[in-house]
This record gives sequence, structure tokens and C-alpha cells, in this order.
Amino acid sequence: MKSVIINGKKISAKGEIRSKITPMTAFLLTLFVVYCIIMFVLLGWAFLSSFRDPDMFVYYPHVWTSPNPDDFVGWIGFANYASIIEVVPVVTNTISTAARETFFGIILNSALYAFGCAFLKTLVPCLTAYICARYKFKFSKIVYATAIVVMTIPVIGSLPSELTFAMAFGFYNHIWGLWVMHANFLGMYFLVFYEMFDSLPFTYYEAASIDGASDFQQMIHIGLPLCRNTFMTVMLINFITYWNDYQIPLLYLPQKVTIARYLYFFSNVNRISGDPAMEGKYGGRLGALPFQITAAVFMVLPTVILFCIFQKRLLGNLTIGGIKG
Amino acid sequence: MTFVKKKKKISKKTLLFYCAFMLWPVLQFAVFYIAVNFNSFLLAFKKVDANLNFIEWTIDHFSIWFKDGTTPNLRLSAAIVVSFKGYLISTLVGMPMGLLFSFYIFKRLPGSMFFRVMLYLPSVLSSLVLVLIYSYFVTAPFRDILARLFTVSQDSKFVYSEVKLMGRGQVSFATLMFYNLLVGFGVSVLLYANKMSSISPDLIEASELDGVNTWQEFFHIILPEVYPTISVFLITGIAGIFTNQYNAYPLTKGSPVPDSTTIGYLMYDNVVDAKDNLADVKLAQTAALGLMLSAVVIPTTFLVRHLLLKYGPSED
Repeated sequence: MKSVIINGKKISAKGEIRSKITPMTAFLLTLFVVYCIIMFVLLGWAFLSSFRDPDMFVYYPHVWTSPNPDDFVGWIGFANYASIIEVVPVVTNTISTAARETFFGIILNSALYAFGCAFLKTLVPCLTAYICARYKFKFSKIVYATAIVVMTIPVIGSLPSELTFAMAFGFYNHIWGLWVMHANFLGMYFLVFYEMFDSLPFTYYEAASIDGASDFQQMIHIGLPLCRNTFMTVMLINFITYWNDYQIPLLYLPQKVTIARYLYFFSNVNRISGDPAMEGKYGGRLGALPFQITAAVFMVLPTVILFCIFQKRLLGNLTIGGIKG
Repeated sequence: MTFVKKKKKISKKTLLFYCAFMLWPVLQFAVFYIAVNFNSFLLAFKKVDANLNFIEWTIDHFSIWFKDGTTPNLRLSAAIVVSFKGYLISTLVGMPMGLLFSFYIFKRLPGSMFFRVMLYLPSVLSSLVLVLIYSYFVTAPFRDILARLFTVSQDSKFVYSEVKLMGRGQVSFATLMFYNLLVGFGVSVLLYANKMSSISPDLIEASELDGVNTWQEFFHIILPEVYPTISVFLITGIAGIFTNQYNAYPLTKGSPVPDSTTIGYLMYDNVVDAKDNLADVKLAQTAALGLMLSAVVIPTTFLVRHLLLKYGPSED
């Protein structure tokens, strides 16, 4: 089906209205193209580097095929990926003598940290918002006002105090400790959930109550199914944030290595030490970029897969606005 | 005729259910917000010995930031400049560019959906990964590109080997900000574009019938409608001046240099340095600095909010 033109606007077969190109939009298109070229060059160059021979890269960083095939191999396939998995225990042992982790160990730590924090950081605001919207008690109004006030009034520099609290309560160096510390109702998503539950007519609950449904059953069968999609979207955003986070594990998990913290350390390391066999095999080559990029590919893989699958959900109808009221 | 408002009686079961589900959020808030911030207040004034035994109350942790020539004073002075410069650049360059990009996406011009994905992609990838690629690229291949583009002679003032994009000097800050502008569009463009899509098509159509051009449409129709979202970014941006790190931590590999250390980075770096020794004075100094900054930020945020409400454009 062809597109048609109505009132100077091109309407596509899908019914989308497309505007005409003007000097302003042409300028913006140029900026976009430049932006995309920069991103493609950066990411493409990095990805291809993960398949290069680190030895050759050290001597000929910008030559893509080996000038001397007797000494160097230009492309080595997935060999760097196997090497990265092999060196993980030695490198994690260098990060912390108490944390000799395997590759799957650091993936598990990351998954536990990211999934646990993301789930609780989504569940607690969701349930609190439901309770506040469903039961309009005075205390609910105080909780709602608190969420607004905390969002509006920024308090800076509480990190030292938070660290001392984590140590005092035994949350320090435990992934479950970070779950507890992050399981709060504060933040923008509380308001998103609240608006959603508040828009549900009260007659639904009243009808269910007459039919004999308890408060818990009303929540499970009426309230929560309403926010299933939003819950998944918020949790996905939180998961990506926690998966990529290295600053909190760096501070609170000295003996548990997540993949983000591993990559932070790995991108600063030049030599491998503490294991003679590995030292002989890799020596000072570990700082070479192909190794570091390979470790980075492992880290971005889950988030890129999630982004590809849930792209529409992530780029969906998330809006904020309004300072009135 | 009189109406008598009947107050519905709350059953015990409902009250129990309510209390059970409110218990955790209230407890968590009481400990990790109220108590933490109260402890932060005490920490700023408290002097302790190596065994964490209380010695005396003091204001030394505050005054050290203002004593000329001390390390905290020198670091803070540099960090304030970097933080404000960073805020100005992201507000005056990043925000207008973000709005223009969103406008392009909103108008559904060629490639807009693809560009939307490309702009959001850096938000999905770890900053560590992007920083790793970017920092290597600007220190090695970029210099080669410069060398090939410009014929460098002995007499030339421009010697490419002296270009230190990642080291000390003004260029280092430029590198930092260029990176942040490059990767920082994702969420803001998404929010602006979504807000623009809620504008009534009738309004746009009426303006087009009146003969407005693209610039006029952007400035006189779109901007006032998106203003509530812009004002949220401006208001939260005030606190951001003192908390943003602009990805300087991974870019400098945790070794701060004056030209790229923001206040947020300075505070985080202090805490990381002192985490193995709770008696380290850096913790108390950071708490004191946070307290002083909060005292500045809270009224400033309210002032900015008031000004934006009073002088900002009206949607009507």
C-alpha cells in the first residue's frame, strides 16, 4: 500500500504522519548521522578488537592484518574469550585475597546482586503505592508526602554515614545486605505506581469485598495484575542499572566480585601475578586492549540481549512532568 | 435537608493488613534515611580516636575545607569550578541538543525510530565499557587521525604528540564533557519525546494552517508544552551540580586529577579511600561537606522552583 499526501503531510501505510524535511530538520538529520557514525566506529572497532591477537595489538595497534605472519596472527577467533574465563580466579584473587572466584562465580554474584536489588527496589514501591492508594488513611497521606518531599529536597553526603551503618548492622560485604539497603519505597517509580493504582475505581474493590474477598485477595487479584507491565518495565530498568553498577560493589562488597567490579579492576591491571603458570602464559599482556574489550563484551552481553528483546517496553510511554501542585 | 457524613468503620483485619504491609517501608525509611542522615549530622561534628572512642565535638571538619593551602581546600576549590562548568555545559549544550533531537523524533522524520534506539543505547551499556573504548580511542587512534589530517612540521605550533586528551590540562575537561554529551542523551530524549507525543495534534495542525515554520513551531508550540519536563530536569539538576561525577571515576581510573574532579567524585573518592578505617578523618570531613552543600542546595532548589513557576511559559 502506497503512502498518501494530505495537507502537505505524508501519511505512511501504517497511518504514521511524517513531516517534510526543512533546513532545520536537515541540520538535525546531519547531527544524527554524525552521532551514529561516532557510535558505530567506537563500538564496531572495539568489538572487532576482541578477536585480535593481543601480541600483535601491542606492537601494531592500528594494523588490522598481520604484517609478519611468521611472528603474529592477525585474527584469533574466540581465543581471547577462553583466556578471559581462564584468568578470572587469579585476577579476583588479586582484587581481594578472600575472593578467588571462577568466571561463573562472578556472573552469579552479579546476577544475585542485580536481580535481588532490582526486584526489591521495584516490589517495595509497588506494594507501598498500592497500600497508600487503596487505603486513604491519614498515615497513607503522610507516606505519600514523604516520598514527594524526599524527591524534592536533596540531601548530599550521607555516604560515609551509610557505610558506617552497613558495617554496624552486618550488611557490609553481603549481597543480601545490599538487598535490604536498597529495598525502599522512595523515588520516582513510587509515584508512577501510585498514579496507576489511584486511577482504579473503588467500586472494583467494593464488589470484590461484597463477594467475600479479603484485603490480600483484593490486592493479588485486582490491584497487582493492573501494574504487571509497568512492574516488568521498572524492574528491567533497575536490573540494567544494578548490573552495570560498579561503585556500590566497590564500596560495600570487598570480598564479593561482580562482573562490573571485575571489569573496573581488569581495565586498570597490567600484569598478572600470584600464579606462576598464568604469569608465564600471560605476563604483561593482560593490559592489552583486546583482553579488556573481551571482558567488556561478557559484561554487556546480558543487557544488550535484554535491550533487543524488550526494546519497545524500555522506550515506551515513560513520562515525567509538572512542578505544580 | 441535612447530609450526615458517615464515617466508614475500619475492620481489625484491614488494619492488620495495612500495618503489615506498611511495616517494612516505614522501618527501612526510619533506619536508612532518617537515622543515616541524623548519624551523618553527628559524624560531621564528632572527633574520635583510632578505636572510634568519642573525644569531643568539633567544627574542624567544616573549617578544614576553607583553610587556605590545605589539601581538602585545594581539591574542593578545583572541584567547585569543574562541577559548575560541567553543569553549565550540560544545561546550555546538552539540554538544547536533547530537545532538538526529541523534536526530530517527535516529527517522525526519516530514521527517527533508529536514532531513538541509538541515543538510548549508551544508557543500556555500562559506562565502564564505553569509557574503556572511548579513553583508548581518544588517546591512540584519534591522535593518529589528527596526525594524518594535519601535516605536522617542526615549525608548526600544532604538534599532535602534545595533545593530551586524557591527561592534565584543559583538554582533559573537554574530553570528559564531550564523552558525557555523547552518551547522556538517552533518558532525557526519551522523556522529552514522550512528553511531545502527548501534545494535541489539533494544536500542531492549527499552527501549520496559520503558516508557522519549523523553528516557530519548536519555540512557540513545543517548548511551552514540554516546559514541565524541562523544569523537572532544571530543578533536579541543582542537586546534580554537587553529586554528578560525569563518569570521571572510570575515566581517570580512580586517580582524580584536578581538571576532571567534580564535587561528587571528590566525596565518593574520600569514602573509598577511608572505607577500611572508619576512624579516618576523611569520612567526617565528607559528612561535613555534605551538610554544608545540603544547606546550600535545599534553599537554592526551592528558589529555582519558585522562579521557574513564576517566570516560565504557561501551557495555556
